Amino acid sequence: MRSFALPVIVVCAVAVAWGYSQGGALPRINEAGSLRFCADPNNLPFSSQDPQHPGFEMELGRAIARELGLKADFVWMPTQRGAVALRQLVEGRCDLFMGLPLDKRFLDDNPRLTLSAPYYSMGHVVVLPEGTVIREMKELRDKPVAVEFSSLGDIFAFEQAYSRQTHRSQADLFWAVATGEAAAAIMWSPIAGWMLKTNPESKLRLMGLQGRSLEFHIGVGVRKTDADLKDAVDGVLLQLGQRNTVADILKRYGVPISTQAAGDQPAKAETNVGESLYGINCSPCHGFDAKGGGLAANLTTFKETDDAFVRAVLNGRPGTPMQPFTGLLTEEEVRQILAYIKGLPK
Amino acid sequence: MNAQGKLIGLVLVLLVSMLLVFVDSGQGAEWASVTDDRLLNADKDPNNWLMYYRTYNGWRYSPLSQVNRQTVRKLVPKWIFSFGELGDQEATPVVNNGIMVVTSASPTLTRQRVFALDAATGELLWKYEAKLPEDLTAMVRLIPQNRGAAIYQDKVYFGTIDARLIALNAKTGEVVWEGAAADNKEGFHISAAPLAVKGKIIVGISGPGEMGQRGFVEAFNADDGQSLWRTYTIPAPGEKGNETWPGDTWKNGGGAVWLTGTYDPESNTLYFGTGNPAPWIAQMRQGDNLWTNSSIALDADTGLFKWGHQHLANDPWDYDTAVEHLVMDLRRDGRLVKAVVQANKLGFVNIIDRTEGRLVSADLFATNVTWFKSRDPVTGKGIPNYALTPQMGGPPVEICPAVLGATPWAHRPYNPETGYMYIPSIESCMRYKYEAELKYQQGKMFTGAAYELFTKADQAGVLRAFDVAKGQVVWEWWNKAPLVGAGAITTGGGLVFIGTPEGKVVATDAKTGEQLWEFNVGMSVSGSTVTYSVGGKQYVATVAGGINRQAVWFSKEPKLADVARKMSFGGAVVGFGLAE
Repeated sequence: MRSFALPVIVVCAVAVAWGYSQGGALPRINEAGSLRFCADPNNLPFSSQDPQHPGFEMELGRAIARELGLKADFVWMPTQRGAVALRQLVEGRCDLFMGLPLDKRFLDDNPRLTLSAPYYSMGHVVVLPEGTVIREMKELRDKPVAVEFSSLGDIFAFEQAYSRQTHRSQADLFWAVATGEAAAAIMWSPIAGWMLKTNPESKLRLMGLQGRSLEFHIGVGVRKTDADLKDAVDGVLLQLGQRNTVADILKRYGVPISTQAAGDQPAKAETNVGESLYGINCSPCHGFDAKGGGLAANLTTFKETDDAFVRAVLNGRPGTPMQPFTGLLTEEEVRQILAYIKGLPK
Repeated sequence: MNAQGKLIGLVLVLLVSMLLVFVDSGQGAEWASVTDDRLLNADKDPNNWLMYYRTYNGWRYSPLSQVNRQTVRKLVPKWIFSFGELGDQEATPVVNNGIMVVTSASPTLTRQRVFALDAATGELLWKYEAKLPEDLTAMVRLIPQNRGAAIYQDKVYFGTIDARLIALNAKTGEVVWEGAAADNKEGFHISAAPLAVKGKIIVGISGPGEMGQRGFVEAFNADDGQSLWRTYTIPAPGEKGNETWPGDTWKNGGGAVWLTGTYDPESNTLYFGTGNPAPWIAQMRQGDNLWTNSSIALDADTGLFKWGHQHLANDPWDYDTAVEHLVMDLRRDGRLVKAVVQANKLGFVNIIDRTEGRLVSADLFATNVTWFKSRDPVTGKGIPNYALTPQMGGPPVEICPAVLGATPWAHRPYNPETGYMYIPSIESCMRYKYEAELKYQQGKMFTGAAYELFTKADQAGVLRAFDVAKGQVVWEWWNKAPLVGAGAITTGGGLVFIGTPEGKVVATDAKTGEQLWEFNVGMSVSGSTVTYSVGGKQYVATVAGGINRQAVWFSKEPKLADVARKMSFGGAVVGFGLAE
């Protein structure tokens, strides 16, 4: 299998000055009738030229174009060399670039780019053989943990003093666990989710992993001068999020919606913690089903971001019965509760 | 018991944590020393409301009759004093010689306030604000309520949610002394109003049933805050009852003392109700778990344990019986009984011989009660159906009443003219389950149960008059929302006053239950009403405000969702008087 190239997390410096200036981008795009995306032709689950499996970034790109009444065109460009790929956007050969990280270092290094509101979080998961009873990362101490050499997962494993077994690609990590060469692997969540979905015979499972700098909010890259296009994309993403279109697309590719609820079969222990915390702290007002009633909000249809959820729980909502849970719950515990709520029927 | 001579960090007039506002006290109201003699004879002093229950016997009965069945229609608001807070207010004010002392709680968790008001006009005389630390433990963050202050001689005493006891100069609001009654880091806090008895300030501790500590009652010297005795509700190894706890579970066994005690001067005995055991998961503490969910009697001078009677052994359902015990002598089956009478979450009115702690009778007052399978043929006490105990990690069981109980912490007054005890009660049920695992962590919630409330009846709240001598309910006054926190009182004018979560203060006929008057204060009522007289005029004052959080628990119930949606927020004392 071909090695995966990440959507450009790599820091790139863009030299050439270009850009459509005044007047905004939308009149020009509307006139052309199509929205152009720069995309990698062979990078599943993100993007692909294969019409059967175009990749979730491409499916989402199509959905955005459809909402704006436009056709989606793709400008194929391998992304192994991120700087070159990004230059296509900056130089105007495409209008949007899917899958860029909302990260200050990235944005500082690309001053001509801006990003839409995030539409999902890309994090890391631990890949384990299905039958193992491991519940937390720390139970893997002294066992060989497969990581991609010099990746964020590798840095994490190094800093936390795990026994690293280094490999050259994300795919190799998956197979290292499947063949028993490694006890576990630390992988990017979309890649692990996709590989698990397409290789069910591997008999592996995913477990959520949290850690500093392991998770990125992902948005759509837009030229800074195309502010009107960015606003339009933000509006569409909000609607697609509310209609669950984004979640449905991610699900088709096995992508964990968040690292806490990794995959279709989230690590059981993690979910139980969220369920237990939910029961003790939230159910008296919001009910076992989290649907609320009366003065209590329906949490299954919470429309704001994960961070907004965490803030609402920790700080409370003054003037309502929602009291601050700071001191009762940690931020991590609130995220575990949120992961549990996300798994409940709406 | 163990705390003899312990100096509880007493600090004289520590300015760091206080803010003081002086207001000219104007004319009229002047502080009169609250002596032992006045407290012991409070029943003969109709103009004042000198302590939490007005009298040591816990009756919450005022003989005042200017406002009565005929005149109550002319009762109108005379003044409103705002606390400037939006959280649940559960205080009962005290009134001495035209001066009202009342406490407020703050959902900001940064402060607790004490106000002295002119009881005839609502004008502020002084205000004290206790600042709270940032690292409060879990439980008090959810329920930062305060139930009121005690007054004794020339001082005002109140507890804080970080478990301090503070004494203020009653004339100025300045701190005289303050000290830590217990350590909040361990999960303790004080919500109950203290009780002043013969130079001692008696404090019951809150928190243990949900935070996993050992409940206690402690007495402090009124002059300097020195601890005089402390009696735990859970016996230590070597003490009778410790054998009802497996291993070290007694150390985290709960048994909070949520409400102010009552006192019988004749035998010099204090009576308290104790709370539920911790954690809520019964399998984690197999045994009777003495003296949780009990009535206990303590010697007021020494704190020595005189007797205990347990209402529910190995409680699986958070049915704590931490209620007040009304001291009265009554005739039962032709015999005179020196009794304490209490009505609790389990749905029974219990008459206990106060000289020896023997249960005389247990009469059911509530309708939806499914936790017992049969009753003791002699006393009528319920025999629990432990088959309704959930399994850890198992499905929820359906059981009635809900965790709020058949009557919660809204006080139950007694009117000697009717012979009725008035029970603010709740008709409710719950789906109740245990979590799969639970470990004790200091400062964290140690309950392990989840619940959802619902009601089978169309309405969840009902005020019941219970004829104590006959052992039966004689009338009911129904209310949509559950009557959770607002304490009732009764008067010589033949009235019962109660507040509702909907925001109404209601007066009913004490004999018939007929509603005679109501006033919408515009905010949920979870505090108490009191009545007193200044300059020959009777006043009725209600502590209003808050969100009545526990009533919100019912908002899942479709029958009550609309009521919950209409509940609004505030924090005030509303003073009523007759229109002139």
